[in-house]
Amino acid sequence: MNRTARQRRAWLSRALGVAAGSLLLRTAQAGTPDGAPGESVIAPHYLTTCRNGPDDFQLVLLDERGNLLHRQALPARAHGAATHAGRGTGCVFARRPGQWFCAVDLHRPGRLHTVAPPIDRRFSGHGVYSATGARLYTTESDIDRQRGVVGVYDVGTGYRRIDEFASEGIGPHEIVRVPGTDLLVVANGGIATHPDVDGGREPLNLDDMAPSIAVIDGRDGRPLSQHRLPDGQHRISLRHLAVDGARRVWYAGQYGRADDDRSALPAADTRALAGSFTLAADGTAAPGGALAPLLLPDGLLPGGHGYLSSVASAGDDVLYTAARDGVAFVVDPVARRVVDRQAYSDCSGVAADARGGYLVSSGTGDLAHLVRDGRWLDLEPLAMTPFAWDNHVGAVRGPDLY
Amino acid sequence: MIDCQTVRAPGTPSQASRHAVRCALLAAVLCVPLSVQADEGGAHALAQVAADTVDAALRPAYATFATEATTLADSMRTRCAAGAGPDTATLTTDWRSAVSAFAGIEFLRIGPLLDDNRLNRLFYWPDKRRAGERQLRELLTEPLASITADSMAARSVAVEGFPALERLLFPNGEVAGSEARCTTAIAVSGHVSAIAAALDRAWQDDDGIARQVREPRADDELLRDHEEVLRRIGTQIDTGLDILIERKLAPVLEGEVARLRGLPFVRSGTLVDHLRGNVASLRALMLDNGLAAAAGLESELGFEFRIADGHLDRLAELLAPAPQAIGAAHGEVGEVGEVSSADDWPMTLDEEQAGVVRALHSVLSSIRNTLRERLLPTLGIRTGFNSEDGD
Repeated sequence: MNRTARQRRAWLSRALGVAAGSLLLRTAQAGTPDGAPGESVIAPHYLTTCRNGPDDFQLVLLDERGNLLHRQALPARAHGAATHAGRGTGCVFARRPGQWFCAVDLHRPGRLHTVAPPIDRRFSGHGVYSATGARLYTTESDIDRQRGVVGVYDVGTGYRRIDEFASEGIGPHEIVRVPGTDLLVVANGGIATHPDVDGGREPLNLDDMAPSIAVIDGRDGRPLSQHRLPDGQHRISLRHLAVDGARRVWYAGQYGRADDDRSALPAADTRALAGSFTLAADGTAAPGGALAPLLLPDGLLPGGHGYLSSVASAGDDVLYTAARDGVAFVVDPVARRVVDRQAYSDCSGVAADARGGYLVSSGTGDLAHLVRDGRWLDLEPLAMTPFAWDNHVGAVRGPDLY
Repeated sequence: MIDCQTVRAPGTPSQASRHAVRCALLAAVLCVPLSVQADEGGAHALAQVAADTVDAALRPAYATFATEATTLADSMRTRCAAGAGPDTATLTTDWRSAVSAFAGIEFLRIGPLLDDNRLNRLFYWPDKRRAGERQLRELLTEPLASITADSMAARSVAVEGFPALERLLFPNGEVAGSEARCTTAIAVSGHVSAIAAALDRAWQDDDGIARQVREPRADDELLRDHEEVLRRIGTQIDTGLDILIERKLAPVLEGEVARLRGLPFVRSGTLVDHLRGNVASLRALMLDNGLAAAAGLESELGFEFRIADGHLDRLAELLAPAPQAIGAAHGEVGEVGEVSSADDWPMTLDEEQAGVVRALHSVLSSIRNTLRERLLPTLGIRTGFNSEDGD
């Protein structure tokens, strides 16, 4: 049996609840005094995932300073994370086209609860809990009909799938919730894929992309509004989202093109990779708050890759990461301008903390605390690890927005 | 397709060995199906690069750092204890050597340097919020008996390493009782020395991290095969170049006037020593271990590194001589209001100085491009994670 097969079997054993003490890794033992999963109580601030080696992907819980509290194996590479502090639970989602998400008790981790999608659905890498934490919403693709859906899962019954509704577009990716409500905001990336074509990651409709951001009432799936970029910018795949303290929805875009396309990106598209709209109480755009690009300054993304990785808001500002350009930058949401940036290799994961700053992780193993200080974006190194941190970080104890 | 049989093997044994490694690696990447790359010559060549990385880059750098950190700590201790130890010029030299040696391991981020937050403890930077300055001021008011090398590990990382030690040795008019400053400098330098010694012990242990890099095993959590070892090495080079180019040099050149503000080791005038150590470690990771030779890029990269060395030499000539460390003996150190000559060191660069920094930035960027566009792809080494295959 090769290593991958052994790892899969080991992971399966743990997923089924077999005692995993011998498999708990050294640093995890350091964070859990008795070394036995599920027996000690921890208070993590962040839920994320990483690559620890060939075919070795793990779920990780971190404290406020990025110290490792717990980690355990996942069946494959994951992508996004969702948390609900009140219920003390969280989920990590398989990378698209995903065939699983894993739920974990944030305070007594050790046993993962794994959920698979219906046979004709694939997870898209993200999800979000309802305000009470009773439901989990996931972005999914309906394989046969090439449309996006939002799956609805009942947390109390072990994440039983109880409903689904349209995401109002193709290729839904991140889904977020407007603080204090059950208004859902879904980024429909606009890129069609199929699991049978290049592992489900080959774009099939670059010329006809129609990305959008949909606002949906999470209680009943009723679409409330839909938002698109100006004409001519349909190649910007709207993929990641954050909501700030004034109900502004910020998007992070990725220019849709084939992997081997090295042509120069149109300047107008580079400048439009980030932007926002403002939500009214009824889920429509507030007067004067239509979706509009931020107009990123020239030179901000020197590599011209057309790729923003993630976005988060601590309330009064917004932080973006751009892994391919090795840059993180902070935006003043009122002035709608970039305040400052920091060079940060392969940075991607970003989560707002409760102190007005952000935890930012990188594929090179770094964890740092970034915070805006007036005109500057400060970077405080927290930890350097041997792990390649994955695209996203979920805040367990983030800003008091939710 | 490459025909290694027709290539004349260079004369010296080491060159011949490099040539063999190069042929094996190129063959593995270009001539042999990917599915069998891990077998035969390719695996052997990967193993050789991994072993040479240990012997030619990692172990020497950590040994030098341990030696220089111990020398500095000894100088501090004898100077403070008797007031008759090394003079300030010697102390300054010891400081410079330690700074350079540390810069030689800063990018070697594998194994024990990542344990226990050691890199941050040695070098808490950047520190735009001046946490180190603030916390050091508080530390200097504590009872002297509580400030020891052993106690430093329990303190904030902002006062445990080189930035704090630099502030103590080059006070720049900051106020402090001399005895407190002396005691604290002994404690911090002793702590740095202890970390350096622990790192060196870990690397010299034949059954420790050195074995893990040389002979990765499938059941080893850190390094399971040579492909993973090369991936880590490639990531260190790429990340190191990014830090050097984007965090250290690029900010100098932003704005209308080139400024050194925010860079490490400006206060003590050892910035160039620091940069030189960084560049040397990158050269060791690319050239001294045979990695560049394996991709057929040894001459080209060697030339570019020599250009970088030339720019560093020129920058050292153009910048004013480094200030002397404040004498560490009782009565000499950090008297209230005392101002060291570090103030004379320029924060703003003139056009010629800025031009050299620009040229250094340019050649290092070229090295990074060569790494990313040619060396790593030629050898089939993948480094980026989110940047390479994000979503």
